[in-house]
Amino acid sequence: MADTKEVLTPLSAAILFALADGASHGYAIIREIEDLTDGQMKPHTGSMYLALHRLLEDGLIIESPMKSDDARRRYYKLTDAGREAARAEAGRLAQLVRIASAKRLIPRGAL
Amino acid sequence: MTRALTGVFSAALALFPESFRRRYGDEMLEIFAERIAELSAPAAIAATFAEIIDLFFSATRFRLTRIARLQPAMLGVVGTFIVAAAFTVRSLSWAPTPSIVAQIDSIDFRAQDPAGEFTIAIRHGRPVAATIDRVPLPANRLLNLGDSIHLLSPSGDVVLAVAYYRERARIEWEPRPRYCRGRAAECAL
Repeated sequence: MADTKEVLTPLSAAILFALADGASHGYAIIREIEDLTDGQMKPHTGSMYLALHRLLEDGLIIESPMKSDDARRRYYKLTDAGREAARAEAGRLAQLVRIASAKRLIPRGAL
Repeated sequence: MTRALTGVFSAALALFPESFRRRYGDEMLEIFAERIAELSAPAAIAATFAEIIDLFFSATRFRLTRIARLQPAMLGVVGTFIVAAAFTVRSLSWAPTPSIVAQIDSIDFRAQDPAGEFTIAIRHGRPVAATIDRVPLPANRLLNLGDSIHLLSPSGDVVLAVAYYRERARIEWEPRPRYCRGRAAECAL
């Protein structure tokens, strides 16, 4: 598996966070990311699938056998390594937030 | 309008290599169509423009990454040649034989790429057995077409195409992608 510290872009991290609740398909992942970030992150289709492809290659997500009525629609879910990478990334971000908070850099009402 | 923009997006998907399009193209097209269906005509045109610019940069990033990853795969080809040569020398040194060509033609290749391991046994110039991830392949899924050896999935799709250079006792193949790992016997190229 690749070094997750090296491969996790903000979009890759957002995909892992979006899949933390269970398997989902591409469009639902995009919607979830838009919701989770209050619309600040709106992944384009090309970037989204490039990120999904890399996460698949790195073994952080796999295709889920779950099927929908649309045969083209594939579902993706976290692997154990993916969940671990998501936890590590969340821990890293939490630490950054703590530092920013200690330095009084977080605007009021932002958290 | 939606149909025309979807056509433009579909054409722009050609920026990605065929393997990528075959795997994700339908999904990407479906998502694009769903997205622009929710927009007014001017917004849909603007969104299409932004999506195509993103496709261009994503496809470029994908191709650059692929080139960077091909270098270790080339080492795999060289490694396979060395292993094949070692087998050949060993078989030649075991017993004198009537035909050197016949001995060179009896080779067991063991090779690895991002999708996993495979072996091919060649006797007298023809592939007689193969394994994918150490699982033997049934004879009807091993196809010899001239200098090419095709390993097939249960449904008859090519999962690995190997060029066999008989006179040089060497094989070459396009490395299978890493996402085929764990299901290489079914992962069609």
